[in-house]
Amino acid sequence: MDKVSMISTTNRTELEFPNAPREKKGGLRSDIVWGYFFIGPVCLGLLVFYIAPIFYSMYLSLTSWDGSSVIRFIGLQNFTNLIQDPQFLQSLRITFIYSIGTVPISIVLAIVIAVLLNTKMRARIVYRTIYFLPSVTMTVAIAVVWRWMFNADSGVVNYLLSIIHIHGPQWLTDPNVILFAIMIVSIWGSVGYNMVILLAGLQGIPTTYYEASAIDGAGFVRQFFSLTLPLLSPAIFFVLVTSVISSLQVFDTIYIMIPSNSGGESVLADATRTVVYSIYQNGFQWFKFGYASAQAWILFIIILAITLVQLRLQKKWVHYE
Amino acid sequence: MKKCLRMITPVVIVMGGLVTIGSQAASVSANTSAPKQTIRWWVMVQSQKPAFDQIAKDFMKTHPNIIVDDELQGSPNYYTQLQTVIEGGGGPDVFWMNGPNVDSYISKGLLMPLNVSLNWKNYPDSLVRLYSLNGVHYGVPKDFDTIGLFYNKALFRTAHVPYPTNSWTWNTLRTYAKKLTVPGKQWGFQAMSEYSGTQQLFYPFMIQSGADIISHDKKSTDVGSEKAVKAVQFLYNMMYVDKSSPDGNYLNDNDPDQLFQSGKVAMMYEGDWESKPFYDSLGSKVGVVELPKGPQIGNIIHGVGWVVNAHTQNKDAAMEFAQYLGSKQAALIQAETGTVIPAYKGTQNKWANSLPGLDLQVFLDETKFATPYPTATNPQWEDIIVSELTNIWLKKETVSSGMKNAQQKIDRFLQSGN
Repeated sequence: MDKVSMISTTNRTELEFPNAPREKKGGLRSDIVWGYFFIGPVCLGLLVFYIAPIFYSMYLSLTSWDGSSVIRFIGLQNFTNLIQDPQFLQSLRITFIYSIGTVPISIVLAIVIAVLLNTKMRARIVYRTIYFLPSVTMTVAIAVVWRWMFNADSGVVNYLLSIIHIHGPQWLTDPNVILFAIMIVSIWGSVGYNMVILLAGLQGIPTTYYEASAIDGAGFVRQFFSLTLPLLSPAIFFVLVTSVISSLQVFDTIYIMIPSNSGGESVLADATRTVVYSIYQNGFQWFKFGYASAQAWILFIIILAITLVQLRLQKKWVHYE
Repeated sequence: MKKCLRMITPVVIVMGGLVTIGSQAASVSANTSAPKQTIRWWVMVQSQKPAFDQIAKDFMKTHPNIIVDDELQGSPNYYTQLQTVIEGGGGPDVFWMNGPNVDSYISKGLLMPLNVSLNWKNYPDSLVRLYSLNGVHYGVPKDFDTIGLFYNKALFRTAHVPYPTNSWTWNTLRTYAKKLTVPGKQWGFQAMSEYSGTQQLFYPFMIQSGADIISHDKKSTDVGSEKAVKAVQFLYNMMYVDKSSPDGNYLNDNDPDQLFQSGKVAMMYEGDWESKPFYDSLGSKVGVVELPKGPQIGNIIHGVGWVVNAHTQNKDAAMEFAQYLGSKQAALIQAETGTVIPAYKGTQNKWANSLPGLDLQVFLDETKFATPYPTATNPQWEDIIVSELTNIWLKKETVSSGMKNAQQKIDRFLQSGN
C-alpha cells in the first residue's frame, strides 16, 4: 500500500515538473522558506495549544496554586502527597478495573462483529451503520438515554431482567454496581468504532488465502484462528493501543452517568472516580491546579509505560506481511 | 519511518490528556480588555434576557456616552470560567453573582467595592448583607427567592385530606404525609428537591431546628450538632420509618420536580422560581403555603446580585450602570417578565399576581423570618454536605455519623483558609 502510493507520487512529480529547477541553489532555499511558511501555522498552533501547556502543567505540578493567589514552588511535594493519598490510589485502582473490564470485551466483540459483517450477508451496510452509530452520537445524549434505561424502577433494563425473574440491581445508586453500569455503556459505545477499523483490516486480507485454505480443507473456525486473526493482528494491535489509552483517560461517560447532585465525595463518586475525573475535581472544582497537574503527569507516565510495553510485546504476536 | 510513526501516534494521543489542564491554566494570561465606555454586562437565564435587553436600552437612552453590551452566559461552569477570565484581567465589567460564590469572589479581590448612591433600605436587609462584607457593599440586590411548601390539590382531594395551611408544623407535615401515601404508587412527601435540595429543603429544616449552618465568623459549621442532626433525622424517618417519602435510591434515580409534576408526590419544598413551571404543568391543581414550623420559625432567602469587576477599565460607567440596576425602574422591567421577584421594595405586587389562583404572596411574607443563604469564602463546603447526605440517604452512613463527618470535614476546610 505504502510502496504503491510512494511510487505514484514520485511519478506524478516527475510528470508535472519534468524540468523542475531543483538543483538551483536559490530555488532550493526558497523551497525551504516556503515549506516553513506553510507548516508554520500548524507548528505555532501545536506550540501554543499543546507544547506550551504540557510544559506549563509540568511546571504547575511542582507548585501549589489555587488559580488566583501567587504560585508557590513546592518541589516534589505534590508527588509525595499523591503516593499517600488514599483517594488518588483508589482512583488508580478504579481506572485499572475500568480498563481491564472494558478493553478486552470491547475488542473481542468488535472482532466477532467485524468478521460477521465482513461476510456477504444481506443489508450489511445497515448493520455496520447501526453498530457505528454510538461513535457519532453525542456522549451526553447516550448518557441521558442510558440513565433512563438504567432507572431501577422504570428502566427497560430491569424490566427485561424481571421477565426472566431476576430482580435487577440499583444500577446507578448502588456504589457496588454503578461502575459496571458505566462499563456496559462504554463497551457499547466503543465496539462500533473498533469494528470499523477491524473491518478495514479484514478487507485488506487477500481472498486468495481463504480460497487456498478452503481447498486444504480448513473450515470457518480454523480459518478464523489460523488466518484471520494473525492477518488482522496489526489492526487489532492498533485498536488495542488506542483503546487502552482512551480507557485510562475515561472521563465524560462517568461525568454524566453518575446521578447529578449526589456530591463530589459521596460513596457514588468514590466508586467511580477515575484518574482523569480526579484531575478534573482537583483542578476545576477544588482549584488545586498543582495537585491536579501532578496527577496528570503520573497518569501520563503510566500510559506511556503501558504503551511502550505494548509496543515491545507486539513482536510476539503482531504479524506484518 | 513507518515504525517511528507507529511509536509517535500513541505518544501524541497520550500527551493530549495533559493538554487539557495546561491550556486552561494558560488561558489565564489571555487578556481581553473592553474598549472605552463600552460596558460588558454578563447575564444569565434565557427567560430573563428580554428584560435585560430592555434595561440596557433604557440606560443607554439616558446615558448616550455609554454602550451596554449584554451577553447571555449559559455555562454550568459559569463561576469557574468567570473567575478565570477576571484573574486574567479580562471579562465583563458588570456581572451576575450569586450568594454561594460572592464571599469567595470578595476574598480573592475580584469585586470592586460599590461607589453608588442607593438607598439600601429599598431591598430586603438579608440580601444587602449577603452582598456586603464589614459594611462595604459589593453587590446591588437584583431579585430574591424564598421557599414554600407546594402541594398537589388533586391528591389531597382523592385522599379526603384538608389542604395544608400556614400554621402547619413538622408534626402535621409528617402525619399528613403518611395519610397521603399509597404504597408503591404515591408518596405524601419527598425528602429531596431540585439541585441536591440544600437550599430548599435541608437548610430550612436545619435552621428551623435552631442550627446556624455556618458560624458568624464563617470559620466553622454546626451541621453535626444535635439540632441539625435532629432535622436530618426527621427527614430520614419520613423516608425509612414512615416510608412516606421515596427512598434515597429512588430520589437519586429520578428528578424530584418531575415526581411532583407527574403526581407521584403530594407535597414538596421548592423555591418560588418553580412556581411557574409547576403552574404550567399542574394548573389549578398546584397550591403553595408557608413552610411548616419546627422548633423555630425560619426560611432561607437568597438572591442574585449585580457586581462590578475589580479590574474594570470603565469604573465610572460601570458604577453608573450598577446604580441604574438598583433603581425602581430596572426592578419594574424585571417584574413584568414574571420569572423572578425583583428585590426593590414595592415592585413585587405585579409578580405576586402573575399566576391567578396560586398564592405567591406566601413567598413575599416568608422574607420576614428568612435567614440569608449560608455562605463561606469557598463554596466547596456545600459539596461536602451534599456528599454526606447522599451517603446517609443511601444508608451507607447513619444520620449522626454522616453529619458529624460533614462537620469535621467542613471545619477543617474552613479553617485551612481555603
